[in-house]
Amino acid sequence: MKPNLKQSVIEHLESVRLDDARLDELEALQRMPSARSWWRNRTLQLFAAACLLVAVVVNWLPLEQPDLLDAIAEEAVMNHLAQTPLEVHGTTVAELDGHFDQLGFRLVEPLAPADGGRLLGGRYCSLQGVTAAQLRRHDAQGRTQNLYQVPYQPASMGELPDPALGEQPRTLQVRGLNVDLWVEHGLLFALTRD
Amino acid sequence: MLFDRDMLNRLYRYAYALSGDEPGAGDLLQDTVERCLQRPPGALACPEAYARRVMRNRYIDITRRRKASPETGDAHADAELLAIDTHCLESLTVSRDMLQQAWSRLDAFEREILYYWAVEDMTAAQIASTLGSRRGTVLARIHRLRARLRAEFGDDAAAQGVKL
Repeated sequence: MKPNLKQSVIEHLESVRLDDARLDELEALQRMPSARSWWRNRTLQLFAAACLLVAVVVNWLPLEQPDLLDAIAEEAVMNHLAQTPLEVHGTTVAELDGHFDQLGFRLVEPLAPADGGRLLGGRYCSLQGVTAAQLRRHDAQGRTQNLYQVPYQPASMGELPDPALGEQPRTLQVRGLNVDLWVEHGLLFALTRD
Repeated sequence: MLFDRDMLNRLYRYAYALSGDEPGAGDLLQDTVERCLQRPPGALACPEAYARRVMRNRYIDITRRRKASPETGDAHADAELLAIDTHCLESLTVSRDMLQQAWSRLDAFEREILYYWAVEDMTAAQIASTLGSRRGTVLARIHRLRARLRAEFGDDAAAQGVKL
């Protein structure tokens, strides 16, 4: 009898069999707890994803905060070096406050610096696109300082020292100048000094 | 247990149909079983069918070449092909030994058609549905397979009184 293709295919494929040892291995694989622990794998995946998210958030925020603070410090220093003429003159914050009616906040007499200097006057400026007050003063030795006040945004600026809590300002160095940064009454203060 | 020994052997044969050799079939089966075990318990209504689909997709991934992929084939359905079905394979007579010699020279899609036609007793339409291909594609490949088997066994078959 002539061999039929279909029968030959069936016979050929049926001759292909896993040996007992291989079958035992595959059965053992299915019995392994780890093999069926999809839920644990899924849990581990979710746990890993959560860890990754936390790591990203934890690492991203500190990176983002100095970026913004650095940018503010950089801009403050550029304004300081430009020595743009003052728009209003006065020796107390109360005298100047009336001029700054477009700020969206009231000027604050800062706790720092307590160096015996005197206020000269002020002008509007901008720090990272936000309207700010730039107050110019001389310290006890007659060196020019510029004190900036701008609304404080903790989410983007991060934690900053508060002198009211006995904390010292954070100091950054930009273009050879020191810039002190701190928070008072919900405002970010930046002080640039010659 | 998701797969018993009979099921494992059936899957192994299907893997052999795809890969064309036993070492490749073994690797494919192992990989497939591992992947199926990652599914939640009870999530598979038909584990064997699911495993075949996983296996086929995995095979396509592994080969990464259109030439070797079972998906490759004539996508057009000529009018004359409509008259062709798996019936044209019924009339072929080839010895098992000769088939065994030629098995690895067939491409994966051709072996897969033979598997479903012979082992699962499927028609071209059923094979096309199972593989997610168009019926015309399967018919074209059956037509080509028949011609290929004729060419493959032509001389020897004639000498052995095999009808093609």
